Amino acid sequence: MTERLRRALDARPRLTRWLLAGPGAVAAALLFAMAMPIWLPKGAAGIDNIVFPLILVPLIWAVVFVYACVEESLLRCVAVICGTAAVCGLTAAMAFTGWI
Amino acid sequence: MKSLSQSQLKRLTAVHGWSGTVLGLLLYAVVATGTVAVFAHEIAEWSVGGAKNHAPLAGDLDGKVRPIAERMTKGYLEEIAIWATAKGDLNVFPHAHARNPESGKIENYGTLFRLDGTTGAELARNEGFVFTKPEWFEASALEDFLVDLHVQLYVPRPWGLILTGILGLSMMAAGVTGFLMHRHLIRDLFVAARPGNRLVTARDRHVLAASWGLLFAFLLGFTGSFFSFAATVSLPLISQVAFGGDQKAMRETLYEPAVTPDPRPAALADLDAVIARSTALTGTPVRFLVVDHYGRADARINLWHMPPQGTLAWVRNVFDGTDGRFLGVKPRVGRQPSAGNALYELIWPLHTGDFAGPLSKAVWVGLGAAMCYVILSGMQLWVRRREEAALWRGFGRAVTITAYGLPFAMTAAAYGFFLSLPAADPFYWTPMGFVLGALACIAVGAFAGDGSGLIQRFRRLLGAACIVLPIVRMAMGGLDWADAVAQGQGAVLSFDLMFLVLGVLLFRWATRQPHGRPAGDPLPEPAE
Repeated sequence: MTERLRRALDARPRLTRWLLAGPGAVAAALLFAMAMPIWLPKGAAGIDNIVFPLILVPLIWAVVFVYACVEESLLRCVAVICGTAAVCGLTAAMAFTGWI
Repeated sequence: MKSLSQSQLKRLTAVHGWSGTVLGLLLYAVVATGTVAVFAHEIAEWSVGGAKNHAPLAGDLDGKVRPIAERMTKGYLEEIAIWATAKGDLNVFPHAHARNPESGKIENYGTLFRLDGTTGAELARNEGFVFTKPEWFEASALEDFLVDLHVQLYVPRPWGLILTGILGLSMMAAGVTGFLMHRHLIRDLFVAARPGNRLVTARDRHVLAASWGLLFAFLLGFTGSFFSFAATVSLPLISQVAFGGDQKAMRETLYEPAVTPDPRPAALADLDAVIARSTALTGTPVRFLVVDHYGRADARINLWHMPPQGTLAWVRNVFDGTDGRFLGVKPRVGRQPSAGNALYELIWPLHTGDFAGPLSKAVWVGLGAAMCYVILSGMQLWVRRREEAALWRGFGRAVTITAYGLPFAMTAAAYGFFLSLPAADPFYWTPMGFVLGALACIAVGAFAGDGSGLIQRFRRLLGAACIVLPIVRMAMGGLDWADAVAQGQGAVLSFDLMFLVLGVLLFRWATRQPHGRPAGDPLPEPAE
């Protein structure tokens, strides 16, 4: 399974990297920021968990974008970015629906 | 730092080059207009001929505001916002919050009174969703246009903000990839451009300017994309998770101080006494004032002060509206000081350079101009490596036209503003002046000669526009220099002199051979 996925990704390296560094980086950054209010401490004024992700969105995007550009292994790149986005998206969805 | 492999460097070079090429012209537009907008307030003062009253919020403000508030219906007394225009007039805006059928959003609805800042005489009165009509509340159409052009490229919200946000991200991307591509950053900070007109000479100049501007580029891209995305994308998404989509709860937590509702009638404390107390506490003048719940026992007076000595952030003091008690300093976000607020308050001064008066603003203008050079030289470098192809030569010509056309169009916007002042609507003719100026430059670029002759023609055109502008300003009824000196209108004199000096320099520059050959003038050279 892993080998088949690797071969599929390596067959279209440019497209894969475009998707990861383009929409992938934007989606991962936004989902990561959306999940941050859940695990970040609220701080003295009860707002740090909202303000930090709000401010850090562009920085998070930059980190994901550069990672998508420099990572040699496309499989690892897909696993890290999609995995992070999926975990964060799930956490945010659970918080929104009141599960956590 | 671990060195990058050849394939990684190749990818980074492609990202650096293509992101600059695809978005470079728009990025240049945002950075160039932003560089000008750093002095937006001063441009406003210059364009309206200086402020008649430099401190309209001091003195007898209570006597000007209270009679207006007393004759308003209760609904409009939810908030009274008070601020001075660049002309030194006073805007007093009692208003409520209502849904605007055009935008579908809750906006400020009320009556805006424009008063003479000294006498308090009513100059104008307008009712409606005031902040959708800049001509009602702004003194300078030129300032309004330049700021709007920078913030959203004159594209309607939210698309303009999203576009400039993407450009901010592309600026960060160019900065980070440029940094990673540098293998000798310290050496590049002091690289001397190799002589001649070769490709390596252009590259050396680009690398030198980019190395010094690297941190600034990242900072501008980061803070700029924060401003663009925060309200349009990030906050709505984050508030869905943090507040379950409850906008009211979000506003109360982040922005509004806690007040226990008390609708019993009560007279408002003396505004002048509150302003004097607040100014004594903070040490800087009041720039903006909001009275919440005028005439009620739960009234609050909020005063925004410029950053005190040694600090970067504006200060908001809150007073009890009935007895004038000082209730404390309200942080920008949250109800008490926090790390999040400290970080939040840094973003504005870091983006605009508005923290140490004209000096810090001048540094930001210098760095902004350097960033413009980096963007343009990067695109020229990209084109010179590919100038055998007609398409890239055409792109190179577009770069030259935009490089000179944008500042010319901004100057033409100023002409539109001044020429329409006596008899027409400056809020229409200022953007129209920009469009006409841009079209003129495109026509010159499309039909005039090739090569360095085109650049020299643009320099002469821009130089002439700069030199004539102060004369047109005065001819249209603007303050002359003798009166400007007598009245202490520093902005008027400084900007006029700056335009004259800039014009002379451009004319002198036009007589010299340009360093970088325009791409429309191909010359074979080995790949370097």
